[in-house]
Amino acid sequence: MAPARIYASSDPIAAAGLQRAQQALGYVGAGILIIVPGPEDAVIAGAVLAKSAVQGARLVRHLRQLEKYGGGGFKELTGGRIRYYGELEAARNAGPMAGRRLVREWDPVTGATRTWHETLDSAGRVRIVRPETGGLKIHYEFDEAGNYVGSW
Amino acid sequence: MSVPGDLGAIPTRADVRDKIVALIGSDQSREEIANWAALWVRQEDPQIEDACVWEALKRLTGADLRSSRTAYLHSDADFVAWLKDLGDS
Repeated sequence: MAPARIYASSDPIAAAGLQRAQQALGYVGAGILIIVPGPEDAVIAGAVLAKSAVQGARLVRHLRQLEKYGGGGFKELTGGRIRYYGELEAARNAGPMAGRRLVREWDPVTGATRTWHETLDSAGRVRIVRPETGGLKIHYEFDEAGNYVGSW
Repeated sequence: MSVPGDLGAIPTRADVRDKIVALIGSDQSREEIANWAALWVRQEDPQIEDACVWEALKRLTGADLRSSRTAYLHSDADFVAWLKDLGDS
């Protein structure tokens, strides 16, 4: 996945602002998101326009985290939280484990984030989870069926 | 450039390269290096714009992951590959 690039503007979506956004999109090229906080939603050729400053700020933060943590994609969870998945980092001598990925979860409402590592087996199943809390590092192990086995 | 708090200066390519070399040479423990990298990776909005540095930090954060109670997930072969990916830049 190509990293997102961001062009940000605090201008409202007035006709003049819209024209500038279109010009900017043409300048930076396709596939690049443009965020212009304003009073109305609008989608123009791949440009996402947020309708308020708050939405605009959240969108910028979403794109920022997508760029930093979401190389493997993201998904929205129930309640509005968003989980960003890093790409699999292969491990060469890890036995049944294929590697690991970094995961970031963000709650747009509270702004809270949490980060953890997931170790995946060769079948792509999450077998070990280790939260990155800054405190004690605990590995939580799961069997092939996803049942919790224990921690260390 | 530095950031607020006690994180110190924003890591450079030379910094992350030094950490990977330290991993390979066992000059510093995996845990120490992973903790250092995690300080940045856990930030709500990491102000690290160099993509190479950022990728290296994410890798280093998991340097002390274990694949079982007794074995590390990553080996020296991984660390050498990380160093190679970082290149001479």
